[in-house]
Amino acid sequence: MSPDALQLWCAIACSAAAVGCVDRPPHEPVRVLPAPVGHGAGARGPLALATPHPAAASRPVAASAAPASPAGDSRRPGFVGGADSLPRAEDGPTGNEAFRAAVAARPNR
Amino acid sequence: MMESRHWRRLVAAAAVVCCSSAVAFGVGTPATYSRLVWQSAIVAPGFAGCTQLVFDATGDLANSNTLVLAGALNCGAGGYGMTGSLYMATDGSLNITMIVGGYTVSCPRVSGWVGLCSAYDASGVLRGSGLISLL
Repeated sequence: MSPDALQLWCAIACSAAAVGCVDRPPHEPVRVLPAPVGHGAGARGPLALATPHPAAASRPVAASAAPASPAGDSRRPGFVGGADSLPRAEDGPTGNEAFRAAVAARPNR
Repeated sequence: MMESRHWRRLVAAAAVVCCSSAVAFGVGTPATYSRLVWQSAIVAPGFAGCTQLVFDATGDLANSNTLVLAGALNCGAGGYGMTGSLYMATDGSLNITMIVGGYTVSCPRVSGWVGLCSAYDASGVLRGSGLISLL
């Protein structure tokens, strides 16, 4: 097919598509897979969504790892819960005296 | 062979570089002063029970006036990570700036190891203040 003829056919096809003259097969309806019966974790089917077990609805939400903050004082972003998660003075000797001595000994600048 | 005037210029330039006391720089090895423990009385939203500041300070005190800080503000069962810097002013006081709990905590004049700090939020609004002191 010559380039001119090809160009002509493309123009015709684009025009037909623009005015909706191209026959399109009827859309197949979207099939909704039935929800699996039973435990959500064991559901079969490629698109099956896990449904919560009825008993799970009554199960209490697990407690947050962060300790409760004092009433009226919500913690700021970056708060890390747990008493042993950050360096603490009680973990060992401090470097305070060594730092004091180092600062006192620095040359005048 | 270089002319004598060029030698004189070279020697003069070298003398300026070597003898200049206006250039305050040096090359040294930084040290880390670890586990510096401060009592914190900074009162700000989210800081209830946060009474202990523990951090390491790293820098070369022989050749520099500044140290970088890294540690934590402890609040009993938990705390906030902290990062900051410290510089030593000519009058011997410390100027400490920390980022902790989303606040910028500025302690501009820690003298005698005690200083007043102010906590500002991200908009620069003062949200709290209090003393820190090196234990």
